[in-house]
Amino acid sequence: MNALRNSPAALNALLILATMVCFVLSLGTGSADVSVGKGIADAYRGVTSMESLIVTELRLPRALLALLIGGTLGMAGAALQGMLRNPLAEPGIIGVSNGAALGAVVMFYFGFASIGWYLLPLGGLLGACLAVLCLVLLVPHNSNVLTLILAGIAINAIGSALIALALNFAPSPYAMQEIVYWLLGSVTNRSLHDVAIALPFMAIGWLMMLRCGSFLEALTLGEDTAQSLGFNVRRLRWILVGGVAASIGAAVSVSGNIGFVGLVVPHVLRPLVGYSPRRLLAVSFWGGAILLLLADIVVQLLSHGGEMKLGVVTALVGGPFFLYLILRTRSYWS
Amino acid sequence: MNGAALLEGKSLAFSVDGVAILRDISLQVQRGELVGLIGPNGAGKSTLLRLLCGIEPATQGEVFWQDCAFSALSLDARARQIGYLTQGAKAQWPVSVERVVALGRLPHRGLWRDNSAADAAAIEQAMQMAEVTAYRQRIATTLSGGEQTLVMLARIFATQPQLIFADEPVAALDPYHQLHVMELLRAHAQGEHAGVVVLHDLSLAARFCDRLYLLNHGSIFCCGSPAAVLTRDNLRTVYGIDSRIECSAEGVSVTPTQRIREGHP
Repeated sequence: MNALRNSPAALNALLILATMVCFVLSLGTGSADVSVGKGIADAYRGVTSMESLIVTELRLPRALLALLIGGTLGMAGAALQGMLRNPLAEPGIIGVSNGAALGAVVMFYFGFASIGWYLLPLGGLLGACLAVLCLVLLVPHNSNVLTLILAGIAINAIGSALIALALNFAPSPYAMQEIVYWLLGSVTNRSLHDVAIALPFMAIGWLMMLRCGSFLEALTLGEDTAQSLGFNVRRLRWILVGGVAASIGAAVSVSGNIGFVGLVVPHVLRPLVGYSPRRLLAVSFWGGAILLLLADIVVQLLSHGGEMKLGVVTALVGGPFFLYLILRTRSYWS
Repeated sequence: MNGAALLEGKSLAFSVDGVAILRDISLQVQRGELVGLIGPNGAGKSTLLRLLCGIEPATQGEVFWQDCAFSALSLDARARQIGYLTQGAKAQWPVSVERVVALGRLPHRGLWRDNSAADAAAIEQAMQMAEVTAYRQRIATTLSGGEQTLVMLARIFATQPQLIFADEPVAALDPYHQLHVMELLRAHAQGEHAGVVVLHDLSLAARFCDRLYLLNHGSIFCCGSPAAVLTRDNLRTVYGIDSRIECSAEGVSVTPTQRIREGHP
């Protein structure tokens, strides 16, 4: 552990390796017993076989999305926590994920999603932006955790209410069922097309967040000190918030709500990077990817017939963890 | 005093939502001097400090760094010249002392680059100056208030700034640490360097500062050497207190004796 703490490169390498292992494991997991190697080889040679179809149409998009979305959730959690200097900030808890879900639902149900591929992630992005904007306006910086959580509850409630409204006016019970299933959060039955839709927005978001690494480092000493250290606090805060909104918006618009990854991952990894908010960003990306890949494998192994949703599993594990965090940090903020 | 002052504020004013916080403030900081800002609570000392170090833009007037407008310099260039110690500054994550001090090197670093050898040397030197090397591995948030202030000073020394601004650096410290912090600020303000410090302890201000600015209701009441500023009449008018002022070999010492007006200021 100590060797890892002193060498950020080693920690990153280890996490990347673990991500690759989980990715391969994920490719090998599924209801059909097929040779993944043969599938990849066939797909590469352009041969259409059962193996190549299963790998390219089912396994690969699923594993890729679990990796990318897990990574996004992890990094966005680390970024928000660094910005608000608060270990309880998380895209789901503070309402950003719900905002993105609302944006995507609106695109779905008014039929915009069929006009252009970019409108669905754009809807998610706008929804996420709106939620973050509310948060920034509602919560003065460096205020206590309670204000943050309360503002999050309010934003979540408004988001949920509007989603419920959309459900209310869903054109058919079937459509309603589809939207509810989608909201529960899953990476099942997605295609490489979904990956292609979300990836550009996510990548832009990652770059924006990574760009703010030194700024997050300086924020360790508060906003005034960061400003005196040469950081344009107002501008960088918007870049950071924009990065979170872009990546979370895109992630939620393809996978629905997958909560608590952004809470658990940075919390576990923070001591390993000596509480450096900058180094935590990349590390949390890989940590999130590993967690979601593993969670998705567990979901597939446990599912017989009716499939468990990934978002349900992360919420079942993450909810109690959130409670534990509150209890542990209670003395610190009450 | 060769040429222009190191830092000069010309007719600074600052207002929030139309309410004037500071009015027509002009002040200079020369090389080699430690300037004290004193005055009652709410006089605008902290706000003035924020204007001077460029955290907040002045509503009117301009701050000059040597001969050029301070606001015309890039944020990075400014950050390399100044160090700003906020009131009750402390780390908000449990990071090690060493890492806190290393943050002082941020203005010297590129966007994606890690610390260089020159940075490491500056960090080492800064920790020695502030005498925090002994607990470099300790977690900054677990230290005592006095030790935390020294760590924050070490962070500022790591930047190697020409001018240090300190906002009530000794407010909650014991006498030992008060003297230690003031000695460090005094030692820094030599040669080409200088310092501006907001203080409530008038005796410390008299002892360590070369010149004092006494603020009252957002404007400068008077300025000059400690002996000229800290007079019974001035303290009566501005603070509303009676005091005993003694001059000795250690400098001027001020002992407030009683309030003279109810509800002042």
